[in-house]
This record gives sequence, C-alpha cells and structure tokens, in this order.
Amino acid sequence: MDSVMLITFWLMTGAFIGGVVTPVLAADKKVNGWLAMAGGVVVGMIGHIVLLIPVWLGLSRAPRLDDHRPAWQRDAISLNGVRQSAVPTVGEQTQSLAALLRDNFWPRARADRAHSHRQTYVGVFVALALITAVEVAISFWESAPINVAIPLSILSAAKVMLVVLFFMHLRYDSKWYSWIFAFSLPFAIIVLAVLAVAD
Amino acid sequence: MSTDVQLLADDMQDHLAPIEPDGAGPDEVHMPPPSIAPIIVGFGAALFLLGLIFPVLFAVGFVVMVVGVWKMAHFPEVDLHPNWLTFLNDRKLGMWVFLASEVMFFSALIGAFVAFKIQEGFEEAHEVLNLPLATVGTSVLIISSFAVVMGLEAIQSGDRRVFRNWMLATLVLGLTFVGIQAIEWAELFNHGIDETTLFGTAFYVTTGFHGLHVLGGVGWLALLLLKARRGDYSAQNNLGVELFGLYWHFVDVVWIVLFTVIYLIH
Repeated sequence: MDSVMLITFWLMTGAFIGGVVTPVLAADKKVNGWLAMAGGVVVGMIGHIVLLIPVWLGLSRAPRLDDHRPAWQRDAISLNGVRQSAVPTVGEQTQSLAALLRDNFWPRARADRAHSHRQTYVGVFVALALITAVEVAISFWESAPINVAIPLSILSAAKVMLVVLFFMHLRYDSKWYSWIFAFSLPFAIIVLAVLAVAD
Repeated sequence: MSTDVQLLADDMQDHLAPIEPDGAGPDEVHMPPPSIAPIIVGFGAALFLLGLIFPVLFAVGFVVMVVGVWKMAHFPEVDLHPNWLTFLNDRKLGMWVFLASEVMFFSALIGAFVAFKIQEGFEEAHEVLNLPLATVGTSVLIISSFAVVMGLEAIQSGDRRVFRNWMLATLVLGLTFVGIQAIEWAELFNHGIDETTLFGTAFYVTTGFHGLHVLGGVGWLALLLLKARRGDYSAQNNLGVELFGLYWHFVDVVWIVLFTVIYLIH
C-alpha cells in the first residue's frame, strides 16, 4: 500500500511540475495556455515514469535477502562490528606516553624465542650517531697535527662497515652474499686509483 | 548461524586467499603466474633512457614504467625457498648482485669527484656548502635506516602495527632528506655554482644520482606500505621488506661516503 501511494505521489509531482512549467515556457508561443498545461501534465507524468527506470533497475539487481527485518537490525552483525569488538579497548585512555611509544614502536620478542636483534640495532644506531658527531667535530678542527682526511676516512669506513654488517645482516647471513658484495670492491678501488692519478 | 552471516562468510571466502598451514612444503608453494610486467618495466626504462636523446620520451618511458611497476605491485608476495644448488635465496642473491653493480656505479662518480677535488681543491665552494644542513640530512638518513631495521624486526616477530609505524616514519624521513637536498641545491645555485663550474658539475651529478636513488626508494616504500596495508607481510613472509631494507641501507651507505668526501674533507 505504501508503494502505491508513493508512486501516485511521485506521478502527481511530475504532473504538477509539467503543468506549471509548460505554460510559462509556452507564453510567447501561439499556443493555448490551457492546452499547454494539459500537455505539460501528461509529459511530466511520463517523464517521472522514465525517471523511475533506473530506480527499478537498481532495486531489481540488489541481492535478495531472506531477512525482511529493517536494515538497522539486519546489519547489526557486520564485519566491522566483529573486527572492532575483537580489538581490546581496555585501558587505552589511561596509557602513558612511554607505554604508547612502546606499543607503537618497540618490536615484540620473537614468538619462536629466536634471538631478537632489537638491542643490537639500537646499539649500532647510537654508535653511528656518535661517530657522525665526532666526524663533524673533527672537520672543524683547524690546527690538527695530521691531515684530517685520514681519521675522517677511517671513521666513515667504520660507519659503512657497521651498516653493512649489522643493518644489512651480512654478519648473520650466508658468506656468499658478502663475497658477491666484496667482489665489486676491487673495481671501485681501481676506478678511484685511476681517476686520482689521471691528469 | 543465521543466513546473512553465512552469506558474509561465503563472500569473504571469495576475497581471501586460502590460509596455508605453517611449514608448507615446497609442493604447496603457489608460484605467481607468468607475467609480462617486468618486460613492461624494462621497455619503459629503455624509453626513459632514450629520453636523453629525444626528451619527449622521458615522460612516455616514465608512464610505461609506472604502469609496469603498478602491475608488479599486484604480484603476491612469495617467499622462495633456497635454491637447491646454492642454498641461497634467489631474490636476495639478485639484490646483492644489483647492489654490487651499484657499488661500481657510485665508485665511478665518487672517484671522479675525488679526482676533481685533488686537482682543483674546491676551496671557494667549501665556503658556500651548508655543513649544518647536510649534517641534519645525514642524521635523517641514518635514523631512517634505523627505522627500517626496527620495522623489519617488528614484522619478523609478527607485529604489524609497529612494522607499519616504522615504515611510515621511514617514508617521512626519506622525503625530508630529499627536501633538504632541494634546499641545498637552491642555495648553491643562488651562490652562482651552476653546471658551468667544475664543482657544480661534480656535485650535482653525484648528489643528484644519490637523490634519484632516494626518490626511487621512497616510491618502492610507498608500494611496500600499500602491500603492508593489504596484509601481505607476516612473521613467515617478510623477504620483500628485507630486500627493500638492503636497498635503503645501501643508499644510506653511499651518503655516508658522500658526506665525508663532499662536506667533511677539505
């Protein structure tokens, strides 16, 4: 009954719009105003029937649900609801900043009790930061007794070794990877030497 | 179980890959189907390089490369078993061979810079170089390397949230480094050091290629983050993250050397 009333109301709206607009549009034309209104009513109704086609197409293609409860009841158990209810929310508000940082940035220990590299990585990072600071300090040293290029080269080589051995895991991985990487070094040294002596 | 929950479960089955038990043997590894995407990337790269001669091909090659990379990003993550002959992981082996070739590439650039420096001294350029800014950039890059290893450690212990936080931090730090480089370039250019000076040529080529590598890494990292969002990586399957880490640390290593050679030694 609801749908019949809705459709009737919809068609009457179309007839009303057509009946009002058409005489206005036809005011300058040599057409009887009442005739224009009658035509407008018919065209408006037909137009609103045409407009119903996409709605009908959409409804007819919607998946049929055996559940005829209202949508708010039907969707009460949704995937999102299940997901959200799975996340524990206890104590979220009372977390301290340290706990927040730890939860978001400190990796857990390995589940299989394998050795975790967390402390190693932090240590290597601190070493890299310190060496960088020392390097910059040395570069400001005006009255150095020796050429500062020598300690600077050694320190930056140490940094490279730290990154390659620990961050790139060459210390723990198969020796073959180290050999492949080292294989390119003679080439690098030759290029450096040739370019440095060339005029 | 009511019907709609059953429908939902059926729907999810269509979208989720079948879950494999831990320790699936070599027979149960699902290889990705053959793909044309690497060929597209190679073709795009060739067009991109031809752009050196015909500049219009720059854009075309770049677009083709992006399309290929985008297709490759949809590959499933497969953690290959070690090769039966070498007992090495083929993907990792390929990455190390690539890094070895990169060592040769950058050694040529750095060698040229050092040779020019020995001949010319570059003393006047040293007055213009912004050492404090470059120190900040170096720190940013080292911190980003640290972020990558912490992210890798997190995903290896199955902690996806910590993993994604560190990777996001890496993305921000990488972009910050590129931004700092842009400021440095603009500063030098305003001081009259352009491509007509010897220092300008050496500096822009060397740091420019390094910056391109950082940008490439940032693009790779963005794809990696999309895959992480999709849930591709786990405690059992994280080689993709490790390979990205190798590349990113290598770019960091190159900058450690460049920073010493360009900024510190004079």
